[in-house]
Amino acid sequence: MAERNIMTKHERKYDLYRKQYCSRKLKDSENILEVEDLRVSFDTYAGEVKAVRGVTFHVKKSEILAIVGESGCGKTVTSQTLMKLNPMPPARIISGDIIIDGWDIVKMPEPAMQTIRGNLISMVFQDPMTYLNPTKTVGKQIGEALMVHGKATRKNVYEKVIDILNLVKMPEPERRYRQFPHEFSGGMRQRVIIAIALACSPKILIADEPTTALDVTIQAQILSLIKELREKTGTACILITHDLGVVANMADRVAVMYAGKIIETGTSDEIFYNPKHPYTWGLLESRPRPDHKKTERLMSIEGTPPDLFAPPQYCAFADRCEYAMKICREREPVNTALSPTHQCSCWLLHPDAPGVERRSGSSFALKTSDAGSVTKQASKPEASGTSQEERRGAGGVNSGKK
Amino acid sequence: MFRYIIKRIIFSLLTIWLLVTLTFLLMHLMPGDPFISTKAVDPAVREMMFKKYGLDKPLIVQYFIYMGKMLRGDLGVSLHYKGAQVVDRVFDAFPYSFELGLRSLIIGIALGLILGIVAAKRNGKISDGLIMGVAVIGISVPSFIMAALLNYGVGLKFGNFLKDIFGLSRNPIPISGWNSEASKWLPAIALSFGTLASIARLMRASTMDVLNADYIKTAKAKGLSEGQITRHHMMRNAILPIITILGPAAASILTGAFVVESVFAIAGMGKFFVLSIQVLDYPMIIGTTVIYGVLLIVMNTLVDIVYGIVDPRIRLERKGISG
Repeated sequence: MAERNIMTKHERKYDLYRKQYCSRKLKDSENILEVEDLRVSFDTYAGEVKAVRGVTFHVKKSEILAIVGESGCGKTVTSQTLMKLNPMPPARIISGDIIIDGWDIVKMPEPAMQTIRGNLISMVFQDPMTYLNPTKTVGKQIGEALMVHGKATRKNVYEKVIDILNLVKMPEPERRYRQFPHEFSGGMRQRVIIAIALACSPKILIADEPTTALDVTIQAQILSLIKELREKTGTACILITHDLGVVANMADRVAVMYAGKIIETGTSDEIFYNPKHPYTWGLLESRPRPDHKKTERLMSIEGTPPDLFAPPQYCAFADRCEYAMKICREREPVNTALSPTHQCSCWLLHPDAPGVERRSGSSFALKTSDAGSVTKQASKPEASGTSQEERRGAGGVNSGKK
Repeated sequence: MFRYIIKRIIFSLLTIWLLVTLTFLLMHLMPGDPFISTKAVDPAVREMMFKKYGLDKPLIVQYFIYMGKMLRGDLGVSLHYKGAQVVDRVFDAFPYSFELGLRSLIIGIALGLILGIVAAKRNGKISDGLIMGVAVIGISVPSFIMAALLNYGVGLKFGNFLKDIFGLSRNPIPISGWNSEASKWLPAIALSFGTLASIARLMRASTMDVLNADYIKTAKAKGLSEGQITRHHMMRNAILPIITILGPAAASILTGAFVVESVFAIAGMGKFFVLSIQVLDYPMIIGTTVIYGVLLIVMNTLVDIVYGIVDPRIRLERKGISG
């Protein structure tokens, strides 16, 4: 390996594909991943489901980016597309660019993808109970990740796997190596999955709701492990979750997704302390709070996300938005930069839009009855009669919900 | 583990005892007697025959006498094949049936698994439909039609066709007997169709289940190729449900197939199963039943052991039982 000519089979293959597909320049040398206007659709019998509709984001070296949003908003599809893990067909990349450390992901065929999957970019999955093969020992499953990329040979795979098990703080790694997944607890299995993902020290780790299936104490352990490993290995991390508590605790930056689009993105502080999009407000309001009374209902955003078979040509959130104006139902909002890091797509941020105050606190639902008047007043210049009627309807539902 | 095996053996013996007793009762319940077909026999001779074979005693006495003999490994003397020991007869024929069964099992399992996997991977494509079509035919066409078709169509017609084309002195495909390697394949194929078809269908279903399993996604995310995923992650898990049906399938196939053996003129033990009942050859009926029962039990035990090897989760449970 010392000489240039003596390359292993794996290195030769990797080198070949690197020459072919790794020539893109990232816009910012700080970045490790850049996604530009990515659109992904699923072809189904019923028609084309536009799951991701023009997503642009980037991840800097060794930072944690959280992607949040409700179920079905395209978080998982976006992240799986980065590795081309979703079966194609039915999934299809309509357009867009994905560049990871110079690799042009969209153009890469399956064999080339195999050389970077688990190697350059890897994934921690949601449910540790089902994402491990029940008939293979844990040691073999981790070792496989190393051997497939030529990072270990039959001879030294044992030591390397033990090292990785130590890295994810698995107690008694020598004994655990020979055990099967069913002999592990949920938290320990998740450590195994993290070990598999980190085996080849990837540059990006995608964690797709890594703690959703775990109980809260284990959740805290796993999250602190991911954080610690990020510090140790310098791996950038995309954290997909709908748990805002996890986001606040972990993320450097946050991207809020809704109906296949990123509607607001910014640093954690910006999103938590200075959110601009009504949907982000709604998300933040719907967190349970320590001062919540038992009799009080948890907040929720009324309505359902739009049908992605035929997504609206205007703002996808407009139909659920209390602050919706006439323009919101006519055109897609433009992206407004609020700071170098903070961007938001909402018409409320347009210079011509009326200033709207975010209603906050747990009194959100209680105030909705008079909130209607606030909105009425606020959206005077543009709001049409029909939208006001709808809004009043929504307000009525809200106030009845206390 | 040791306790488990002991338990298993005790249960097996109990099963065999129950099997023998039930068979004994049932066959004596059948109307007629072993010598009824013999024409115009002098009543005195008949009586002598009954006495000779102990059939004149009360049934319960006959039962205990028979059980006593059986414990000493004596299955009695055949009433139909005059003077022949049942054990000798059965064990003479068993190797033929066993070899035929083994061959057809190998064909059935190997092809069934491969076809099932291919069909699952090509789900919805033409090759999937084709394979499943063949499987339905394989399941619904009984082996005697398959045997006759292969014997006549392939053996006779195609064989003669080959003979004419290559100017051979005789048909290169033997259509009967069990003496040359070539003669052994046609009957084995005929017998394998049912197993092949049902395994292919089952394997397709379980492969599709496994292909949608989450751990396949993990394997893909590691960077494994499709072939590696199939070999290292899919096969073993997909085979699990198949193993369960292999035991009974193997037992019934190994004890011979009456029709296939008679179509191809093989001296297997299939004929004893059918003929012994027709002529009420009491010792032979019980003899063949016991052999079949033992084989079934052995096969099922074997399957359980194999299952434990393939699926580690079951291995652990077993430890729990014995410990």
